[in-house]
Order: sequence, then C-alpha cells, then structure tokens
Amino acid sequence: MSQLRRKLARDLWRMRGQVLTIALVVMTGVASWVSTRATYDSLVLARDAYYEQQRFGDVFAECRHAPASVIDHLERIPSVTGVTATVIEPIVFQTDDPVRPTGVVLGVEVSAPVSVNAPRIKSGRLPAGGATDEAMLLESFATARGVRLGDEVRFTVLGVERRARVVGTAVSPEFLFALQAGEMAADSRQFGVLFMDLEAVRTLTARGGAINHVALSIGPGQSPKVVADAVDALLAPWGGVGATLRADQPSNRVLDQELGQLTGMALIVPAIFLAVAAFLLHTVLDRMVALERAEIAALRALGFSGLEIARHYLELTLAIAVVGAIFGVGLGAWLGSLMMDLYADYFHFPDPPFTVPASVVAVGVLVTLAAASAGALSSALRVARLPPAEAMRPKVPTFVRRSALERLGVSFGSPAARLVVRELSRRPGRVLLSAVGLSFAIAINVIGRFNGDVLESFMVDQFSGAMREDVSVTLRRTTDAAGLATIEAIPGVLRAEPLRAAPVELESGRVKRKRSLVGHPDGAELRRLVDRHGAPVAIPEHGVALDDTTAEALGVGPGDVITLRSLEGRRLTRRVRVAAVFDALTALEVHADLAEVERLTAEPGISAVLLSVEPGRTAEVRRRLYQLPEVLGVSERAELIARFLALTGATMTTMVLILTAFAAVIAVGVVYNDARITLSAQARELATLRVLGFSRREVSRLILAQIAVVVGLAVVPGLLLGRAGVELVASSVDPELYRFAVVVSPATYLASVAVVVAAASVSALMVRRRIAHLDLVEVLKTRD
Amino acid sequence: MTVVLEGRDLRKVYRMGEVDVEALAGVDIALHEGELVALLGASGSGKSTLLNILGALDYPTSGELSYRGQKIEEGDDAHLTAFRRRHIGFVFQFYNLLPSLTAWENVALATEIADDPMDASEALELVGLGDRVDHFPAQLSGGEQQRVAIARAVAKRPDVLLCDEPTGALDAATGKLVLEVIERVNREVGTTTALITHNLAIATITDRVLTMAGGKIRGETRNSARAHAKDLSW
Repeated sequence: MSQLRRKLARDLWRMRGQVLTIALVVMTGVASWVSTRATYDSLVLARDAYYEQQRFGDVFAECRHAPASVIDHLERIPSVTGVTATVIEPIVFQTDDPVRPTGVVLGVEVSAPVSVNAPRIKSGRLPAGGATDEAMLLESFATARGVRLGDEVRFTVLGVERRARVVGTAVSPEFLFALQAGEMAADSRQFGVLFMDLEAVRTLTARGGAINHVALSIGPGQSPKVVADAVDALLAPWGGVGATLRADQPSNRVLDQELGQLTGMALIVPAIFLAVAAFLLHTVLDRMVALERAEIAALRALGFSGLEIARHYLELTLAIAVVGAIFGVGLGAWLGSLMMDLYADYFHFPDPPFTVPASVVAVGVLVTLAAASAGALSSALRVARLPPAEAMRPKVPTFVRRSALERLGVSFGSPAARLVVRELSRRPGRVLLSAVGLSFAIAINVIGRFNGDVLESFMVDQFSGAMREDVSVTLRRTTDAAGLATIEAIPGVLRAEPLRAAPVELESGRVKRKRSLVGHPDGAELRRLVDRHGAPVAIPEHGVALDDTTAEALGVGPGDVITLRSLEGRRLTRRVRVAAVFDALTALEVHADLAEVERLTAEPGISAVLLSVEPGRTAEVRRRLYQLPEVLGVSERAELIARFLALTGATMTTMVLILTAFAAVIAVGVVYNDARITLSAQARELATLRVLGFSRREVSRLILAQIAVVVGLAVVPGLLLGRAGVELVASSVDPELYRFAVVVSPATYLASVAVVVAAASVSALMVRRRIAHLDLVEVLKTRD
Repeated sequence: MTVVLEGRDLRKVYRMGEVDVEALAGVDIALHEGELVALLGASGSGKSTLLNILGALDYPTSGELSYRGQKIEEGDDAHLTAFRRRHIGFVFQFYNLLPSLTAWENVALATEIADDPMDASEALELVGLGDRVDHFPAQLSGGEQQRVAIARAVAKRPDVLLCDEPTGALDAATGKLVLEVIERVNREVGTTTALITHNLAIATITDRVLTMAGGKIRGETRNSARAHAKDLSW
C-alpha cells in the first residue's frame, strides 16, 4: 500500500462522523434509485409477461344480449387475432358482513383453450362443464376472505340466491386491480370473481346461447381504435355500450398510473440526494484542503506532482461515495423487494419475480461517482494548481467588511451577534447551499405528509358535503317509481331519494369521452354535488353540469352545446347545452336533473336509492333490502369511511415514515457537516473566547446560532418547495381518474419543519460536545 | 507586598504517545500585587505550561494554585472559566483576534462579559489605537493587532495579565511599541503582569526575572531599576 493510500485510510477513519453522515446521504439516494427503478422494471416485465401468457385483450366491449353468431362477425374484423365472448353478470356474495362484497360471475369456456383474457389457475382445477354448482374463485378474494378449496360460497345473481363449491382459485389480467364500482379504493375483501363454466353461467342467467361481454386481441401494429369502432357497429343492435381500449381498461389504467408515478419517483428523489451529497463532499474536501495546506506543500516539496495529490483527495471523496453506493445498492435491493411485495399484493400479479437489473446498479453507481467527482472537482483542481511555496504559508485572512445587512444600516447589538452575522456572511455560498439542502428536507416531508391532508379534506367534502346518506342501494336495473316506493316503505327508512346513472358518450368536435350521466331529483338532500373545495354546486334545471377536466378535454364552456349519446337502451343521440362547468374531484360523471336524464335517454327509471335511516335500525333495513330482487348492492356510509381509512392509512403511514427518515438523513448530513466545518474553521476564535472567559455554553451558543440561522433560512423556501412538490405530485395524477384539491394543513407544515429542526438539533448537539473538548492550549499555540 | 497569584509545587506531565514528558517538575511561584515579572528560558523549559496553569487554561498534574490565598479548585470547568473571566488577561504571540470583528468590537467582546470593565474606546486609547477602532484585524499591522489584543486583555481590568512572548512574531521596532504598552498598563493601571520571553534585553524592563530550565525555576534575579522599553535595543 502506498503511503498516500495509508493516509487516505487514516483520514477516513479520523473523519468517520462526516464520512458516515455523507455516506448515509449517498446510500439513501442510491437506495431510492435502485428500489424504485428495479421495482418499476420488474413490474413492467411481470406485467408484459403476464399479459402475454394470459393473452390480455386489446379491445373490450359489453352489450345487453347478443347471439353467439356475432362472434363470427367479430372474428372477421380485419387485424383481429382472437375473440373471447362470454357472459358476465354482477353478483352479491351472501356473507355476514354489514356491507356485502360484490363482484361478477364470469363464464369460461372449459372445453377449449380461452383465446383472450385466459384466467390462470392458481390452485385446484377448472369447474366441470355445465356444473352450475362449481366455481373457481379470484385468488385475492379467496385469500382475503380465507376461503379454501371445497368451501361453499353463497351469492345472488339476478336476485336469486345460488351456491357453488370452490374447486380452484385463479387470477386474471382483467382483474389485477380489483376495484368495485362505487368504491374509492381497491379492497380485495370486497370484490370477488367467480369463474364458472360458460354454459353454467348461461343457465344461471337464463341467456340461452347469448353473450354480453367480448374481449378481442389484435395483431401487432394494428389500430385498436379502428377495431373498437367496428365492434361498436356490430354490437349496437344488441345493446352495446361502447368498446373500451386496453389503455382505458380499469385495471390496466390504474396500473399504468402507478407505474408512471414510480418512474417519476425514481428520478426526483435520487437526484435530490445526490445533489446534497455532492455539495457535502465539496464542503468537507474544501475544508480539508485548507487545513492540509502545509502537508500538501510538504508533499509537493518531496516531489509529488499536483495531479498525484489531487488524485489523493479525489479518491477520498470517491471512497465515501463507493461505500454509500455499495450499501445503497444492498438497501435498495431489499427495499425494492418489499415494494414489489406491496405492489404484487395491490395488483395481484401472480408470483412476480423481483430482479435488480445490472444496468440499474451500473447507472446508480456511475451517477453517484459522477456526482461525487463533481463535488470534489474544484478542491482537487485547487490542490493541483497550488504553488508549493504558497502552500507553505498560511492562508491570510481577508476579512475587511461588515456584512451586507450591516452596510444597509441594520445593527446587531452585541459583538457576539455581529460575530455570528459576519461569520455567516463570510461564507454565503455554503450557507445558501446548506439552506437549500435543508429546504429539500422540509419539502420531502411536506410531500410525504400532504396525502393525509388531502384525504382528510376529501373525507370532509365527500362524506359531510356530498354523501349525506346513511345507506346507498345500488339497483340491478332501471327501476320505476314503484320500486322506490317499496324501499321507502321499509320500516326504519326516514327518507329515500332516487338517483339515476346512465352510461353516455359526450362528443364535441372530434373529441369523445365516455362518462356516467347522473340524474339528481329535485330538492335532493342526501346527495349533493360539491366541487373540489367542498362548496355545493347547483344542479341545472336544463342541460348538464360538466366537470372542468371533461370540459377542457371537449373544449367547451358554459352555454356551449355538445352531443350526448346514450350507451344503453334506445341509444339516442341528443344535443344538450352545457349549463355549468365546475371544478370537480373526479372526471367520471356528468350531472343533470333527473327529469332531464329521463328526457335525454328517453327512458324513465332510477338506478340507485339513497336512504336516511332511523338510528340503530340500519341492520334491519339492510336485511330487508337484500331480500328485494332488484337490489344489487347495499353500502353504508359509516362502513365505507372506516374501510377507506383502514385501506389508505397503512400505506400512508409507511410513506410518511420513509420520507421522514429521508428528510432526517439530509438534515443530519447537512447540519452535522456544516457544524463540523464551522467548528474547525472557527476553532481558534472559539478558543480565544474561552480564554477571555466565555463559558462553554456561551461559546456553543455562537456555533448553534449559526446553525439556527441556516435552518431558519431553509424554512420558508422549504415550505414553498414542498408546496410546489405537492402540486407536481397532484399534476402527475391522471386528471380524468382523480383530480383532488391540493390541501396542505398548517399541522403538516409544522411537522415537516419540526422533523428537520429535530434532526438538526441532534446533529448540533453531537458537535456541541466537541466544543466542550476544545483543547484551548493546543489551538492557541499554533498559527492557523 | 500582597501575593496575588501563587503556585506551590506545580507539576505537569503530558502524555505524548507512549512517553510521559514532564513539562513542570515542581515549581513554586508567587506573583505580587502590581509587579512586572519576566519568565525567561529556552523553548521547552516549561514557561508556557506554567503561564497556562497560572491563567487556569490548563490543570497541573499535581500541586496547588491559589488566588489571594484562596485555593483554586481544579477540574471544574465552569469555576475555572469564571476565574479567568474575572481575574486574568491573556496576550499571545499570535494575537488571536477575531478576524470578523473590528478592533473596537474585539475589545467590546471582552468588556461585555466583565463585571467592571473599562470602556472599549478607552482601552484602545491606552494602547495608542484610538484612531483605528473601526479597522478589521486584516487592516492592521502585526504590532497594531498585538496592541488590540492587549487592549482586549486589559479592558476587563484583570488582576493579572499573562503575556506569552507578545513580541515573538514582531520586528524589534514594533516589539518595543508593544512592550511600552505593557509597561504602561502595568504602571498606570497597576496590573500584575507576567511576561514570557527568551530575550534577555526584554527582561530588563521587569521588576523580577525568573529563569526556567527543565521544568523548574533555576534562578531569580531582582532588577534594582527597571529599564524603559523605549530605550531597549536587540
């Protein structure tokens, strides 16, 4: 080992506190890159492989009732390579839960291979041909509910209760993300799929040879849009409701959204950490070179070249970066496997393999080394260029000015206060960059915590503002006034309000959007329309109220006329006026008066009933509701809230913990190193003060005050940066899926600052101990 | 004359790596009210160690230090800090001014924590720098910086002024100016002063010369008449 290497090893050991805190920052950056990017790559690979193996469709369509002969026509559409036509019917599982899980029963061709959307059997076997009492159950539902092979499930389909024995479990690309209609979050316990023999499903639903759901695959490079139009044309006479492309298929769409967020995260978070690490390495090396001027000169005098010595300092930096990167890759691989498990649960991927591609590791390590080198560059160059004779002389102090603030006339009473201000103003670059680093730490915290605020405001807006009913009842098909009266007559029901939802397509110019047209009755009290900020929106008497996202997509505003096509029943096309545009939370619904909806669809009826129930009689009302054949599902507001919070709470807590740790790593890295360097640079001054009779506490206060100013400078920019980050996150969510009001509570801001202040205080206290152990005699004996 | 500061059988052993170095090997010393004492000796003779212990910057390994008959308890940092704050003024070879504070502010720093200080401007007048109060150390010559350091040390009206080679980094002409200031403080303010030097000529301006070698006081001479700093040459 060369002697310079030996010096390197000893320097690293001597500076272990700084080495450790900087390596932690590097490690966190590399770990966040490796974990998110590898998870992304693994998920994409798993998705692609899975879609291919199960021949996931490119185009999907539903209709009311089409003869099997339509399959031949679908197969003959140019570029179509496969068609699966089947029957899907909504079901309600008969369980003891207050809110019974819903789902679908799906017909599977058991005698021949399924050409599109093949379910994958995870355990057991396919149900027997024609058996109306055998089913495979969606694996996620079976696991969540603890259903085992051989167990019996009870369910109602078309109002009739049925039983089936579970002979197998399966997964399907169509139901990776199991989101039940009317629910706000995916819940494996609440959505199930029964895969039964197609003939058996036809028997259960009395459909003869008909089908109501098709999935098509098309050749590579072909346009799914053209195929979708052809499918629409073929299914229109049979009550087709418009084909959906894979990109809009609900499960796939959520998957795409999540993957998009992962790629963003994989870039932003590591970039912040590596920038902070580069800055820290820069300041540490800068100080080290300043302290070792005499040593550098001695080395030059011995005959070492400037470049050799510069390389020595560069190696020191790279050593810290490499240590951080190695642990970062390890930690990232581990975190990635945990993330993968979470995502796998969420999407129900069958046995997703988690791999860390060599390219991800290589990019991570190379970028880290580049960042470290960038941080070390200026100091290393200075070393290389330092003339040996000059290096022998100490650096001359050049301080001859008051701080900018003082020159402007601000006065800082005591000399000690002036000392603090001037020491800070001597190193504006370091102060500024330290504050920037800390403001990132605060911002990361705000971003980690704001979800809770959004959720809370969402809960308040939705549950106290919009959804005021105790119970909502989804009806199986459009029911008339008599149906409403039946429900209203159930003992314990105080008030019942109808609601109508009909699938429609809106068109303006060349833009088309599929939405649900919701009809509200006059004087509705139980369900109100509210905007993103929770303010009520009036339902127009004539025309429709559009959300801003849809209005933007269609390029229309209030007063404009759009085309509205009903996608069910008589499929009428009408021109309708946009009466109002409001900033809505989601872009899924178009709102109108109930009578207006009946006029637009030319079909009377309701599809849901909202109930206000006497306190304590909910269970009784629910029992009676389930006995009615037209009732498809019953959901209770209180239960919905509890389940929603339980689902989102755990993920959010994890997120907050991780980002708090991230922020703390940055804060400790920045403050500890800044304090160490400040202490080293001002050791002589501090020792002088101690000699003059200043106590340890008084001297510590001078250093702590400098740290406090740096932290203080970071607060407002950090909060603003956090707010901007929150906006960025909000804008990365597909507005047509979900558009939330950006709300950040004072408590979130406060907590974000508190975390950074706490981390900074701990680091400052670690340095304070060093002030206590300052060797007065030693420091004063030598000339700086 | 009253004894202000007294050390008895002071010993100091430093552990330098694997070996023990005895810097002080049993020193008895007493500084009397108002006197100016020189500590003379080659480098390594223990002068600075003795001065640091007298000024409560360092602890003796054994022995006893007392101030006006009161024993100074060692080991308690707060106690020693308070002692330094009230009674001791230090002047070092390398001035040790705070570069980010002006001459006046450097002095005011000390007057701020003293019980009955001089006015900072008055202290600067005393050292002949009344016209340079707003200069930063980087704008002052070495001699001027040392005079600011003396002003800072005497501004809190210490009972004892301890000067460690105050002219060591200065040329002869500037050094004389600094010595004149020390002389003046001792005479006009009456501050008991101990001065380290290895320069025999400088020793002539004091009342008493203690010669040190090998960590012990080897000799003591009393100057029958103090020379004046302005008349010195070396």
